[in-house]
Amino acid sequence: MSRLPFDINDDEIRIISSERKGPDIGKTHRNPKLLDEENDKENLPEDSEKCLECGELLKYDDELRENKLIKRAFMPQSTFDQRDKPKWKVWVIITAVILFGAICVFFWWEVKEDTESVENSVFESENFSENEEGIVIKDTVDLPVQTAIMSEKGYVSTYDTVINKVPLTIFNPRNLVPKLHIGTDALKDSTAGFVVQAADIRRDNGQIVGQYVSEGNLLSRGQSKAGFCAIINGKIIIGVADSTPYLEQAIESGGYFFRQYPLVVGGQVVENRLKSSSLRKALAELNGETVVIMSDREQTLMEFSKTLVDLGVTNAIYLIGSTAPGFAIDKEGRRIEFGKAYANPSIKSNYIIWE
Amino acid sequence: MSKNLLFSTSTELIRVPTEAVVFISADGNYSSIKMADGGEYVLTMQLGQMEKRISEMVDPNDNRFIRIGKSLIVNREFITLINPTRQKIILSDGRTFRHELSASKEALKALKELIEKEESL
Repeated sequence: MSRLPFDINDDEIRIISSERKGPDIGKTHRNPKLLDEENDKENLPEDSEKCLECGELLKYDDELRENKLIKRAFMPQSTFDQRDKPKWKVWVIITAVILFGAICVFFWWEVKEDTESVENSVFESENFSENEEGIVIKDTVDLPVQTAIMSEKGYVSTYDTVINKVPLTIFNPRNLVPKLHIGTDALKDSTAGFVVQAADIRRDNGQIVGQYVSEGNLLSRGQSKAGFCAIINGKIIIGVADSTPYLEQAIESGGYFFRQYPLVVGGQVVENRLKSSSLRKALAELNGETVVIMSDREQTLMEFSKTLVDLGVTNAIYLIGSTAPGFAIDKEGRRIEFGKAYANPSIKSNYIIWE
Repeated sequence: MSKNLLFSTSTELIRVPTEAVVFISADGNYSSIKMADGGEYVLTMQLGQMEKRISEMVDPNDNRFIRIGKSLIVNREFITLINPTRQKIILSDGRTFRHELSASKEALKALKELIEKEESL
């Protein structure tokens, strides 16, 4: 499929210059300067030159040259094309697919045999019972099946810990999908399993601080904090960058994005100048899971960052702390509230809602 | 050909020295030009249009600008660190500013290879 001259994928790079367009994408040739020197000697046609490595005559598109479009050649081969991947990779993939298929058939056969044996002996043995849905199951597999059914409904598991004498509460959303929402009605959302406040609001104009994307719409922009949270296809990505492709991805995928202070990146503390102490809250990656961590003691942001690193957090950004309101629904359906509702909340108050 | 980059929209004109542009990032339908003096200019142009304008304006031998993925154009003169594994690129002049950006692993790997190759020539 042909691509427009300025199309590019996130996995690609290209040099921007006013020079002529290079040879076809996917072909790797030597540096253009060396090519030009050699071609001068050989007096090749004006619209072509020769590659020093393979001797191939490289033709250029006159129309593109006149328009002075960018050069896309002379880049590492891996940048553009995957056609010349080693064949062994294909064989590895084929072998993996065949093995996977064989394993699936094996397990299907085993399950079929088990089911047949259960059906044959259900009236003879006390080891088998029938659950509420009428499915005959073995006693030995009863527990995991019931657990799976129960866990379909989302909830938040919470646990307390103490790091360096700082009490922390960790909220871990289970089977819940996050999104962003503007408006304090989030705190009355009966379908929500977990609600915490997200991006800051400016005191001078009441607008959201930094870039903010909701359902793919860029609702706020401007001077941003370096930390970001992107929600793309229901998955939270936390990072630190002045500019990030996740903003574009959030817009293109109908996702969500907001900015906040960075606290931890790659297991390292991010330095912060804010000196005031308060109850702190963070959106963090801990043991491969996305959790919300609250400090139950007033700390500066630097102290909070160090506490998170000692806890084992790999990446974290700040969430509005202090008495910012929110709630979580635990496994038994109980509502755990934290913070307190503002007397005059901003209409731009925004929340991460896990539903 | 000019040593300045000129961007003109229906509402404004921005004229910046080529060597003072650190990076240009996409911001929805906007593009944001980050300057070495700390300034930032936002234009109502998409990054692809910015790239086209740059290719029309830069000197023939000036290949300092590199497009990285869909959302970033960087000035290679300021590239200080590329870490494909951590998807991190740092642009700095070593004195007054330092910007940490992120891009895809594959793009940063290709950029690293490109610069290694060119620096070794």
